[in-house]
Amino acid sequence: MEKYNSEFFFNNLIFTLIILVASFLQISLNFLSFFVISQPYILAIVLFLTIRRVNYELSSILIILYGLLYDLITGGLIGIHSLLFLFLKLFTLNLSISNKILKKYGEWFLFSFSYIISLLIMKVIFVIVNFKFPDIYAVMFNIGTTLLLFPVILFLIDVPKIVLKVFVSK
Amino acid sequence: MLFEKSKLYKNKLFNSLLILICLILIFIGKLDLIALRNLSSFLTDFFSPISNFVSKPALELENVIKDVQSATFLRDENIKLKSENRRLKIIETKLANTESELIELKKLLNFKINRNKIIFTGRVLNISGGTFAKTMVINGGSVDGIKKGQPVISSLGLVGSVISVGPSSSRVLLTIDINSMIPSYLTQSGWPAIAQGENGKLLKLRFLSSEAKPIIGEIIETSGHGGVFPSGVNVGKIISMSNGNYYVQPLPNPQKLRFVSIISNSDLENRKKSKGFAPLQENQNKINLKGFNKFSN
Repeated sequence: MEKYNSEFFFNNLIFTLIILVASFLQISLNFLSFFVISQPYILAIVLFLTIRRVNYELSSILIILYGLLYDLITGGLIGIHSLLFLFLKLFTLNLSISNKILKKYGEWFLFSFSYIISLLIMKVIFVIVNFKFPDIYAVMFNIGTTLLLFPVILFLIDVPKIVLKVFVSK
Repeated sequence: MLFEKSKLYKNKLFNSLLILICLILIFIGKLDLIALRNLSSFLTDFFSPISNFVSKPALELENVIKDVQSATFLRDENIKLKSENRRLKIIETKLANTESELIELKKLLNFKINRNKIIFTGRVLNISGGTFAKTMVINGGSVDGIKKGQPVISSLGLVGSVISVGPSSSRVLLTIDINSMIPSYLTQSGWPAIAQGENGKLLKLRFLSSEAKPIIGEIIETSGHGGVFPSGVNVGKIISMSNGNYYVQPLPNPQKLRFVSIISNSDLENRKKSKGFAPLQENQNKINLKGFNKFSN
């Protein structure tokens, strides 16, 4: 039991650090003139990859807390990122269609599906809460850059594996 | 089988409960509670050095991109600057005459100039430019005399207003944020309007009179109505029109900002000192009308 607890604590600690680094990396992207309208959600990509690739299931309560922390750090509307990340997890793991998409089209399509649906639901909630329509172009730009960045990050994660494979085969 | 079904049902119930908690959180966030605001200020303060450190590679990368771009367009830029310089010299001579006339006229009219004092000039630590909020953090806080609601400007114009203050850092709501509304006026025709952010690149002009005919390229300035922003600060220029809506490009590009100034707003200070926004009239000596004043007392 004690061993299980320490493992759980260690896993979550590492995950928290990864999320914090991803958050600050995402914030820093706004200094680049390329992302003039909106910055891509690196945090969503990292979260998706952790949900998909890590052996243990990530706690939903922890995901809500990360979202809350991100909202408090960035000064956004509290709870909005908690719900976005929660939806991302639910659409990635809990829907029967998610497995079909994953088997038929792969990870990139599943991420696109989960991310677009989650973000659109969040935008609807955002409009209801604020009574104002956000710039559609900025939302589209955000979706586009995030989806384009996904394979890049995926490749960067796989680079050590590829290098190791090359060395092992030699 | 039954056990699996009940587990699935419990799982669904738990997820629905979590969604409900998040929705409650959003509505609590919308209430703008002081405790949450203070917590946000504390966290911003706490994480700002780390955020500043992580942002450095992105800043350096942006500088390299800028250098490469400027080197590529150096020749064209030189020609453009020379022609602009010639044009500015002509304008300068005209302006000098107009300025001296203006000073003289102001003296004659005993016109009181409302000068806004710069409280603090600081460095931009980070800009959060997600699709939900557009804010920036600066390296000055309550220790430096910054207060909530104070306008923030750059050398080009209005940047936004301070929304939360920590001891050593403050958060600024940018003009492009969806919650930002700036009372402004068109500088050429004088029509008032509200420049509203849309969480995008541009501001939308709202409540503009149907009689107003804005010109593309027309400069928008703050009108000073409402007392939050001082009057006469550049907001941006009209760059496009679609479906009867006019769109304004803010003059200071938030991404290119490295330093900003926080100014005092004398209108806001005076408003806070007064008992009400529209004070009641004092009792005046009444005109003695036969038979009427008896009943009113």
